[in-house]
Amino acid sequence: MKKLLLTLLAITVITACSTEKKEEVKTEAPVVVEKTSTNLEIVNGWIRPSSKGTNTAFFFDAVNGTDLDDTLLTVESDIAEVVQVHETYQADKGMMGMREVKGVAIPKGTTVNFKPRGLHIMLIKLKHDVKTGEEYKLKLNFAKNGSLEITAPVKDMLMKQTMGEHKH
Amino acid sequence: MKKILIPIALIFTFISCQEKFPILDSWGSKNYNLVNQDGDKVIFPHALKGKVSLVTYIFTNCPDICPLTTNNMRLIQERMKKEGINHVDLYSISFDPEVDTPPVLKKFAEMRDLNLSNWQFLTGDKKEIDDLIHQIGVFAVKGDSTVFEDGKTIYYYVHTDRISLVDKEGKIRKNYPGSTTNIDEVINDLKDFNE
Repeated sequence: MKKLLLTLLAITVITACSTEKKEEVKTEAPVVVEKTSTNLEIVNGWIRPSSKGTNTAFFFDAVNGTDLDDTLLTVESDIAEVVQVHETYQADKGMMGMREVKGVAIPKGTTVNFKPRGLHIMLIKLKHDVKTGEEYKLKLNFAKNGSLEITAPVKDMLMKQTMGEHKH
Repeated sequence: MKKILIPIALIFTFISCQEKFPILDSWGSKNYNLVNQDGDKVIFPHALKGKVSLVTYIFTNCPDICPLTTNNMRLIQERMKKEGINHVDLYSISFDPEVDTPPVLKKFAEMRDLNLSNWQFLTGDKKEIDDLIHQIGVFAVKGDSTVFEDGKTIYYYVHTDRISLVDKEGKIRKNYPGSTTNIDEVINDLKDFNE
């Protein structure tokens, strides 16, 4: 009986000391994977819903299957007053911030992910509500491969879903 | 021997609960005059007392982190409903009250089809909000900005990414990383915690 009670006591103490602390977060860098196309392509594009006058973001994967290192310079869209290339970053004290980046390298034979908690296109001051189920055109301008026009759906994707959709 | 070990085991069990949800912070005796998305007055944290709460800190012009945190709050709310956890209320406090007026917060919730039955979006006077968040170690600092042709400027905050577990006395007992919160962990904590 004494042994049993001592064992129970030990288990209780171990349980008491096993508090998890998961405050640590890191900004994820763009993932570079093997090329899947012989062209420069924009795949898995989606826009987060938001209301008129506010901001939202456009996410996608840029697949550079060409033999040219390229750079995404700018993005154009009719739905926002200003469109900028941004990245989310981790600042001091666990804070998260966001800043404009001038050009994102898309090396040949790689895919660069523009995804939540990382690179994204900021659609600033929306001209109207952007609702789930709608689709909008965007034009991406590259340094060497010219411009690509794509249509992206509006979705309210969760972190897990975006990670799931970035399997290659 | 048996008589001694059993009380010791009980004491350790009590200590283990305290260890798992220690008091991390509080607003002390201070209260703040806030309003919710409907314009109704909310005395914070007085209004939280008597129920366990999850509190997060956001701004609606945030295109990336705050929508993820808001989605996590929604997932937690959905899991709470599924698992019969009904002793918890949710609060999202805007640290950009100059932009996030009650109608803006209401629209933000409507656009995402959020269930506001036990979830309130709060805003208020800028000084009150700044004091409220600084009191518990939440930071929101103006970073990059965009200036429009009409001269108006919008700011992007560098901010703490957090969801706080608040007890029935208004004290913070655990913090989760808002945009990357482990939903299972929160749900398990809520099942254990009803103080």
